[in-house]
Amino acid sequence: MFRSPAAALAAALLLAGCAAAPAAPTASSAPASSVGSPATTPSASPSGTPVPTPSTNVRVVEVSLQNGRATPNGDRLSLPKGTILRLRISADHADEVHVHGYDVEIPVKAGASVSKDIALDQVGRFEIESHEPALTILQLVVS
Amino acid sequence: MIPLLIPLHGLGSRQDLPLPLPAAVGAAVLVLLVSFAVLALAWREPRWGGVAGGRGLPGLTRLVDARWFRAILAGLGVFAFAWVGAALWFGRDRVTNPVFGFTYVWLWVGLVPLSLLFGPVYRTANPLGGLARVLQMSGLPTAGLRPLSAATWRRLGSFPAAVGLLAFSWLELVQPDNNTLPVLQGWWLAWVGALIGGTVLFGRRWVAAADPFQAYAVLVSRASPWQRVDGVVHLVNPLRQLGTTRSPAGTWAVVAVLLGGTAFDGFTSTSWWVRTTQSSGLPRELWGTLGLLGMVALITLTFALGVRGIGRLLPAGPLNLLAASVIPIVIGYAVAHYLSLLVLEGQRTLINLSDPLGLGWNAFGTAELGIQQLWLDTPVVTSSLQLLAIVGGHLIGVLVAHELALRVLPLRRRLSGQVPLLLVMIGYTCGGLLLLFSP
Repeated sequence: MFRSPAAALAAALLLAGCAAAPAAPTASSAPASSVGSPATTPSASPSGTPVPTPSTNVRVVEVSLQNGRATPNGDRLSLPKGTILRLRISADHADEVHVHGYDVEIPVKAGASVSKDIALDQVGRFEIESHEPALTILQLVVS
Repeated sequence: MIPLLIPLHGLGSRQDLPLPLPAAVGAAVLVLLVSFAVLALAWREPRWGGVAGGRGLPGLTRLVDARWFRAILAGLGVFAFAWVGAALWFGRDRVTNPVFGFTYVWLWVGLVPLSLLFGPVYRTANPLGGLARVLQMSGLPTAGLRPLSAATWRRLGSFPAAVGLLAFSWLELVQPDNNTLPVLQGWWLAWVGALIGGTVLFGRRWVAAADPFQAYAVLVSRASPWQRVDGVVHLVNPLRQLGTTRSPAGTWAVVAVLLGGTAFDGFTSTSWWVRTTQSSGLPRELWGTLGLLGMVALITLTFALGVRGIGRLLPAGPLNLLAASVIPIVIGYAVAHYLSLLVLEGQRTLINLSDPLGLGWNAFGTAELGIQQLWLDTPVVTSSLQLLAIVGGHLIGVLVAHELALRVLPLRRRLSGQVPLLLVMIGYTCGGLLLLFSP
């Protein structure tokens, strides 16, 4: 008896959720923008939206792996599908950064920094992790 | 220093998008409405009064009881475990080894839809049950070397399986390097050892009491449309089956471990958990162990509080009786959290199963298959299925609790006595929604 009205209601709620979807990214991009423009990093571009490619949206995130700690430290980063995520990684030890789901492995040498672009073409939630030690750097949400 | 391009975490590398906030809030409101609507509008007298029923299917019963049918099922079970056992002991320590997907996805997650659709078939296919039978045929007494009394078996109920399920949850969620062969080999040895050792000591009944996978499968099958009544398979209303089947002692512990484990899995992907555990100096395993135990304790405590409205905490009393009402919530949680994993990694496992030893075989012709995304590229379908599972599980759970409470509550407390448990169930479901929203 209850099931079909319940299902209908759930569907209606979902549709409402979709219509209101643009609200969600603004809410979740607050921590993301703090990720994109940290004052402490050396080559920081002011806002995180620089660089040559004019048509596609590029998001730069500075990643630092120092003293066994990761910065950012497991923050949520919500980006629309089609964005280019540019990871600029520096580490004080040899490590590798793994973008789950996209199966991208980025080796980093001790004391060096490396930049890697990832075209976000898959929807979902993905962890970006370092391996030495295993730390979650970012939770990437592509929608 | 850095391993050669072997992905360390192959399984579940893509998780579902967080539930959109309006959908989560809307579903929570719906859950509240549905819950109190059941209380106010559903039947006022016990509907089934503990009497099982449905449509008897003697033909189907003859089929599933036929020796050859049971032999085929048991043979399939033995073959499947022998195949992945070969991968476990002689395969390569890579993420493409099918034993990982078999253990964490096919077995752990796949048991739920299997048992929901087909009833307790895993019990017949369980190779450990077969092994116990072989031991018995080779001279071991049916009741083992140290037989237990009937009263002891009654008290034991499903408690050993609850311990096993807790151990598996720890392996899945806390154990470091749980997708490497040495770790999994150790756990498989412990599992088979505990089951066979117990069978030698206490006899064949031990497998039913202690095997976590069989206990999980049997628990879920109570929400299936198949039930044996007086030995005959019946097609039944799952609500009626949940409301009329007996819960062995310790069912509440099994339910609490399953719900707590799934909730903890969702909890570990909140940014709060990740930040807090990574910033602290304490080892991750300690955090994980405390978090898992804490979540199971939280479920147990809240459930005990909710049930107090219905009766005293007798071992065979309302705690176990009403545990049946949490089974649909457990299933809803499992579907909402793991359906996408089952679809994606289940296919990957099917592909990998063709080559268990990493020698380039294509034994089942599946090695070249691609992975179908099905609906997974359309997030609105995934989130709709998640909401349906969570809200549907809640609705069925509340109806079962209502029926069971009517059976035991004195007339004047028939409605008021249900309220605490109803609130607790609302808490579980909204907690599940919150975890899917994943703050």
